[in-house]
Amino acid sequence: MLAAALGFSLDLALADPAASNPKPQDLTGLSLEELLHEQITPINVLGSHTHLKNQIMVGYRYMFTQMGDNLEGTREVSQAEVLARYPVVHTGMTMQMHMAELMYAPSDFATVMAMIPYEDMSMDHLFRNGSTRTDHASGLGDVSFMGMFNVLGDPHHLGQRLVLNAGFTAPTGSIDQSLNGSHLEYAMQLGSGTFDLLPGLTYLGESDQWAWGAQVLGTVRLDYNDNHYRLGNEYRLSAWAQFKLTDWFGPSARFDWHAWGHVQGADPTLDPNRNPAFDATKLWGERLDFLAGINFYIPNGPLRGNRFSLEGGVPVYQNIGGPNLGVNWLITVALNYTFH
Amino acid sequence: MQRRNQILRAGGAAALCALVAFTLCLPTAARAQTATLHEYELKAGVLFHILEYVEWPAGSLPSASSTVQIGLLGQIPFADALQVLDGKMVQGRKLVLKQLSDPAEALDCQVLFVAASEKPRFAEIVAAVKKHPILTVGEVDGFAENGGIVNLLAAQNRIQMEINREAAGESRLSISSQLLKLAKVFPR
Repeated sequence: MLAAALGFSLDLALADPAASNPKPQDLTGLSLEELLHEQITPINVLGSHTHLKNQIMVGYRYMFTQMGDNLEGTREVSQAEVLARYPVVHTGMTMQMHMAELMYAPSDFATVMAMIPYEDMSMDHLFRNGSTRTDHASGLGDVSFMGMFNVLGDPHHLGQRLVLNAGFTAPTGSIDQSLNGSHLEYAMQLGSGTFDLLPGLTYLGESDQWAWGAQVLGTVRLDYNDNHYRLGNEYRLSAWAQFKLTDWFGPSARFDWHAWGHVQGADPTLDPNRNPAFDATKLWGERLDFLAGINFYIPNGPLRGNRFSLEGGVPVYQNIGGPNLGVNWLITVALNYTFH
Repeated sequence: MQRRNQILRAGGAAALCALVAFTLCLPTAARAQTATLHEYELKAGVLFHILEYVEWPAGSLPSASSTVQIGLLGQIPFADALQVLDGKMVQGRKLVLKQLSDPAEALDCQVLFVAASEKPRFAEIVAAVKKHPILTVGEVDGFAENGGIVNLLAAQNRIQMEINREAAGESRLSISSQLLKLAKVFPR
């Protein structure tokens, strides 16, 4: 696949742009009003991360993550080994997130967005005595707000652009998810409990047939929360490419590297000797995921303007403090609609 | 699992390197063309209709059946898209396109399309044709405000039309009020 990717990139680099252009259309048959109303870059399956003035996007995103094997660093640790050290081992965890997204562009060079997550998690436990238990946590997560500012490149044209990301999350998610009055693991809490900054930089490229880009995004915790800890800062670097097979369909591929520092401080109600996921010093990690996706744009009919995408992936590298659960696979479904 | 992760780590690093190389190579083709073919298809269509609403002064066209010459000055990224106008009929006259290398050659034309590449010498070009019945058409911000007659500006993902009525008057061109209604008119 990589060889193919490099092959096609060189092909494109060497290609004569004029030679690859299709024959121009004669649009003189359209009225002047129609021509002035026509979009220069018609919306197609190649999604845009920012919008032009007065465009509004509403979206829904569903994310599912399945966690399974216990890891300590990069080493897989058996359940028996964990049980030899702790009275409990986690045998699996699922994380589901329903996210409502709203974007608005006050100008061609700025887009603001709000994301409202609803989380639903479950974690399976196996105790030394052989008994099992599954804990659940669900509710509103941390709502985030983000501004995206085009700092280089022209958003009206195909080509390359640089977008500055500046945002924050508000501590709307609970950090008191409990069972019988005892707090659940840090990973089962719905929020960070703190205001967090979301700085980032996004590189976007788009040609007639391709869209590509890369993004670096940080999550910087500003303070300790009411339960006396602060989650570790997070860093995310992703790079992607999408090919437009037709105006309405295009596959995509993405690498997503994600690192997070350990929890500072500690929830005093969680005894790190009872459960590895109670140990704040071990909740760090890094992971590289490879994800493949399919993307659809509906150009006509009553659902005109809707985008639908499905992306799934697996980690190709995981290194986490532990023993704690690593990710087995993840999937995202997104639906959004843009209008003026 | 450790060995598998080591292999995956090496594979992941290689993949990332390849992706960086891919990202650096890929934009080469696109870098050269920030404008799009469709933008120039639209500009050609708009220009065609504009010519339906412009009247040249009596005597500036040799005869009733003569051609309307459109001079193209500068480097137009998708000049082929404008070539669709060649041979079309407007107000009973045949459109003829020709590439110019110097503003002085525009004196034989009724329309002068000034490409964005000529922005550094707009003032010189406009001054050279100002007193002649030549419809100057530009495509960058400020063209109509600075003495050009019609500007076809790509903004907010659409073609926006700007017209300098005063400059049209100086060139003795009459522009229909119907066209002015669809344009941003200078001076305001």
